[in-house]
Amino acid sequence: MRAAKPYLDELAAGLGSLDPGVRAEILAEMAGHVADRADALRAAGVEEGTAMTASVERMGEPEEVAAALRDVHERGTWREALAAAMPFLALGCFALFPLLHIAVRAAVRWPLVGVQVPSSVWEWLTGRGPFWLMVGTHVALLAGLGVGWVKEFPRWSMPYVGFALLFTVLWAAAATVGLTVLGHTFGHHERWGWRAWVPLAVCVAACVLVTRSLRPLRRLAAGVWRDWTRVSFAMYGAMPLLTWMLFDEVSQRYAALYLLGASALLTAGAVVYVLSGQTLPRALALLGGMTAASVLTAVGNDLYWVGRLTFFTRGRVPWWFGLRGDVIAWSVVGLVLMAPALLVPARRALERPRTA
Amino acid sequence: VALEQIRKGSTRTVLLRLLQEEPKYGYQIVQELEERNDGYFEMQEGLLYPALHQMERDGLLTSEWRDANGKRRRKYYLITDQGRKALAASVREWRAFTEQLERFLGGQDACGEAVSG
Repeated sequence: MRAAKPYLDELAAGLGSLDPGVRAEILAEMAGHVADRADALRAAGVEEGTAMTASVERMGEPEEVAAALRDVHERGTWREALAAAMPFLALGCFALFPLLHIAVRAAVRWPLVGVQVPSSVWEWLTGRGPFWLMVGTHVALLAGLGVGWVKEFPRWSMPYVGFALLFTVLWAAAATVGLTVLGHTFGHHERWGWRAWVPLAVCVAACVLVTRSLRPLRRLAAGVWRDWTRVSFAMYGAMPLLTWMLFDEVSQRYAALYLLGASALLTAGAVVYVLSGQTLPRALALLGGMTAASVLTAVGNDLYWVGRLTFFTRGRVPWWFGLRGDVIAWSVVGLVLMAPALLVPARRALERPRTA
Repeated sequence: VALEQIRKGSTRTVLLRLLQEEPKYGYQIVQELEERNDGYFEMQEGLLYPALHQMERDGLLTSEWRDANGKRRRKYYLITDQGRKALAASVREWRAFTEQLERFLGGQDACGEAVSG
């Protein structure tokens, strides 16, 4: 025998990852349905307790109904998936840069009829181009973070949070010797340090001014508490930088195709994550994207070094040289990324009501 | 299994057809389905709501909470223009499908063929 309240409690527990407003509305609608059916059965002469039990049983198993509702309400749209994919496509843009470099050089050397590449383009590509590309990416990411903030941190905005924070930390450790910014010329051994945090601080201040509330931050915290895969998705936003940095000492032309491949795999993981309505497919999407991208970049990096003479090996680099390091490093990254997602089932089990 | 799939595939069409007449709330939809089809489209009633909510997200329906005099508040679903167009297209498809199937099945003794084959 089942009464309405325990049934609705089980349903509420199953809808725990939804926005509280949406969850309350669903529960009110379902409670109304159960009460309407029980009223009709009573009017037909069915006894009070039996009417409610029959009404509840006609609703179906609460886990099944909750899973179907989660699938509808947590599944992102294609537009949201595209917004979430942008930081991962940025990696592809970086990868395309050396290919663009090669294309422009070819055009300069063997000019096609009617196509004139100004020398300034060539100078920009070989000089400050990469720097301004990084600055542009950082600004674009902060803009994405700003939009996400104003919209109270929907799921798609998570990689922007992770990527913007990591980008800022990276800039803080960067040195741009000789570059003059606002009258200050960077000297030798001088890093960006605190200055790197200024764009993020300006973005945050602008968001607070626009929203005039800390509600988005509260919603961010509540969203993370309801669905811990959001933390994983924010950390997944660091993957483009990790894969890019892995090819630090490698020819950019060689790395380009591997980075393009990693960009495509990470983008696919992000898109599947946003379009999935359930926790397990989401966690698997992130794990799959991360694993595929890391295997591809590790293989590319290791193959590059095989047979080369380097200062860190006595002879030529053997094929297995990078294998152990790859397995250890990517396992650690994978564990850190997936730790919040892996905690979801444990948390669900703890929160499950003990009513029968 | 095939019949179950046809039933599932026609859920949207059936719901749109019911809501084309007037806005209805969930329990009212279930009740009308029972009355009109002698339980043929019977489903776990809780699973009606994911279907309605998905149709709302797809722009086929909208919803609004309404107060009934002295009774509990109910969420009514209304068909949109997009929903009407989808219903018209779906009805055309079903009619073409059933017509072709009927022509195929009616043109021969399907059971006899199966036995003799």
